[in-house]
Amino acid sequence: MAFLQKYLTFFKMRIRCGLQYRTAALAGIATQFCWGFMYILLYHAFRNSDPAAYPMTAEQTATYIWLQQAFLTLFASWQLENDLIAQIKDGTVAYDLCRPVSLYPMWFCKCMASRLSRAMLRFLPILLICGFLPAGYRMCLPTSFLCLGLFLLSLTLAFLLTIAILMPVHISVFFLLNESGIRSVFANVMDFCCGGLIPIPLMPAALQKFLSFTPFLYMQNTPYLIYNGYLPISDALRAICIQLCWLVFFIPLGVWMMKKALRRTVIQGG
Amino acid sequence: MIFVKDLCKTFRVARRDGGMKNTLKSFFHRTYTEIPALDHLNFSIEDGEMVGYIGPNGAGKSSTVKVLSGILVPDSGTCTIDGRIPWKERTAHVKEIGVVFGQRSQLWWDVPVIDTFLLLKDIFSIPDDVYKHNVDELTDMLDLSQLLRTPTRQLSLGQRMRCEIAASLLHDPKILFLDEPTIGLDAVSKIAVRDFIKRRNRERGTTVILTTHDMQDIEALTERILLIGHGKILKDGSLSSLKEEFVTERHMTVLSSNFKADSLSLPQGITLMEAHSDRAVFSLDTTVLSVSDAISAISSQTEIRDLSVDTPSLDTLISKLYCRYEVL
Amino acid sequence: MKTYHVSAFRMYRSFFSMHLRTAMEYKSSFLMTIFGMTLTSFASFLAIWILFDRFHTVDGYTLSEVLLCHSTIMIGFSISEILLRGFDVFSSQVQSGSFDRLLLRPRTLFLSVLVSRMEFARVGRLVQSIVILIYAVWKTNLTFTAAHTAAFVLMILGSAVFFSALMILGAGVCFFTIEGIEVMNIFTHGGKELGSYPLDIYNSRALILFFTFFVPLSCAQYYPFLYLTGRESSFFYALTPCYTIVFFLFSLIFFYFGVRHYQSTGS
Repeated sequence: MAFLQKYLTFFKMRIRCGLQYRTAALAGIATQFCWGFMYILLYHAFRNSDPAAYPMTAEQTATYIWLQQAFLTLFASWQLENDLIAQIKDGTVAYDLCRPVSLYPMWFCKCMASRLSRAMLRFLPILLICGFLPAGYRMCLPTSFLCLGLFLLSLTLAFLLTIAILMPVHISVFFLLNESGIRSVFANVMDFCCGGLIPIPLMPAALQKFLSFTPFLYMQNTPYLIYNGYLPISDALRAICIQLCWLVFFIPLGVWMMKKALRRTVIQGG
Repeated sequence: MIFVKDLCKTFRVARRDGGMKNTLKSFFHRTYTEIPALDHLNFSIEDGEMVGYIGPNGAGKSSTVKVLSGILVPDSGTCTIDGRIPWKERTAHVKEIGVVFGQRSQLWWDVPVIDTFLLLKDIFSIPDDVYKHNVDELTDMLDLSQLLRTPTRQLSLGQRMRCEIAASLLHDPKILFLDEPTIGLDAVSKIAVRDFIKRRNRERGTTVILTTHDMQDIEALTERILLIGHGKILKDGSLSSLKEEFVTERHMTVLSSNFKADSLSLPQGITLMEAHSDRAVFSLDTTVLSVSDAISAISSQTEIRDLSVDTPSLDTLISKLYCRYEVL
Repeated sequence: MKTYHVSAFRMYRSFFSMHLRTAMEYKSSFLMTIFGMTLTSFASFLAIWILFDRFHTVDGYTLSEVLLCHSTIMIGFSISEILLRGFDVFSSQVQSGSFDRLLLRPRTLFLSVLVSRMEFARVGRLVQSIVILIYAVWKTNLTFTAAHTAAFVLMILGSAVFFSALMILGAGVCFFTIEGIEVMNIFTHGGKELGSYPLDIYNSRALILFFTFFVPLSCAQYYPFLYLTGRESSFFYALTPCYTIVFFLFSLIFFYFGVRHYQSTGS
């Protein structure tokens, strides 16, 4: 428990930092509302043009979009931890090595905390207000408690998976020493493949098939599709299992890369 | 001529208390505190003066410099420099001043220094002949010939500061503001910078206003000190008069072969600080006893082999000043 | 020194070459950034393409027509991003205090901020948008009379002026609240995304009216687009981008208002 306490304290501190930026949080909520409306209007326009080709109902689309906006900061692919990167670049990461905590869980926690602190302020107001919008724009309730439960489970796993995938990106700065390139390339690819730009059900079948072999299909869009009922329970369970598998793959990969990177740093003398 | 009268400036700062509860509370309701940075500030500086502007952090130093350079508009009061109000005639005013921030560079990081100079030539509309003359002169005085073709990022701190000062003087400013110009510099660079500033003041009559925490800068450069605290001028005087007034203590170190320092009978105004077998340190209050009286009192009782009298450092003077005016 | 004055144009040119040389100092990082930036705009192009692959048309508009909208908006956005980067990243200049340095220059503040940054890495985005524009113009079978050419040119210029004005407005906002700058992104990035399609597909009159009078995105691009594709025949539609100049002037006034606030609070 004492072990966990350290991370918890750190976590609290991070969230408190995030809470200080009041205007930023309000502005963020406003921004996400506008983006949400824009996307809903856009997809409704496409839906009206060819309803047969559209894979979801209007309600499902609206629900998907609002969930995406509400939890945007949890899954933002371009959001790397700048202070971690700065620490690697200027070598102060050596101080962290002196602390009695392993670096990988510590960094994992940092990423989690900064994302959660941003999301905490935003998701509730967004979801609450979206529940009272006119039909077609409204955020709907899940079809069953089971559905809600699976959504929460899958959301958690998707969140962990996003961070687990971004950890190697952070760690790669040890080797590249300049993150701007990998950041922009990876962020763009990941954002697109996760359905950040257009929902995955709207993508061509071949692309969806391809994405099913990557972890990207099992990130943010999986919980949203479980919630809005696009994925039936059986598919949802399967997706959750695959999420777990990818987690089991990426966490050890990150730990291994971290070890390699640190050994390299120690040899270089910081 | 710089003339400042009744200058006032108040800042509003959001208050933040620690703790999760207070953080949450301030999320919904924020309280502000008013901090008077300048509080009826008065002083005037003649052309060609060199003035040390000192005070602890947060005393209002940088606010004053910002007002004088036209960046900040005060709440009330007047400030004229060569008959101009800095913030009202900003573009005309800034042509006449040069500003060096010790901790902030205006040189372009990745290109040779001379390229920044050429850019400044365009920014300040410096005619070709004036520019050439000034660059030659500054290169000569600050020994820049090797540096001008080097990218800024490859310069040492001292080299960079010399270039920085040259960059602020290209347009022949009448007034030079120096904000911690020697911070982080090695001894050689510090002396070079100080010598240059002195020479510039002597030869061109440039008015120099120096804010610094480095007392050696003050000692080397300025005859006059303005002490600011709580937004007011607390003391305005020459360095020597301040010393006379505040540094009344001397340390006397006496070397002697047969010493029983604790058995000496000391007159009023002199106290023993340290006693060793061959040496003793006395503290002397010059308001009570003169140095020569003190020496004769000691030499009458013991054989002095060597003797030195030290004035406490300028840092001691400044900390005394700060204590006296309760500005810390 | 009394009569000698370096013109704003010459100063701009000097800064232009300095920025270009600085960018070239780090060639690999420069190329990487160009690549990354191009990828971002390529992704938004890809999104449009994927949606048309499935639905073929939206509200009666074809892919090439939508790409015409998309590319003009992106060209306008890239141009203002390259040239007005100083306003775009203004919050960092205020926070780091380098804005104080600009106040110490005997130049108008607009010019000082304008030349303080230029972002050539965005050039890839501009080139890509031009390629898409050429493709869209070719596929749309536009008839180019003199009036249509005027509409076409005004549409691109109007978009550039529109986004430039937004960036200046955003810089002005920085003087009051640095945290609130995200709201401006609703208009800059939101405008970029919204404007990628003809505005009537969103099926909202309020939206079009808002983006006509308050934030004149429609005037910059949507109305001339209607004229260009033959949906509206009145030449008045081709002239609406001129209204963006009013918006630009308003932004500039607001920026200077912000400067005055900054000088009196020093925050």
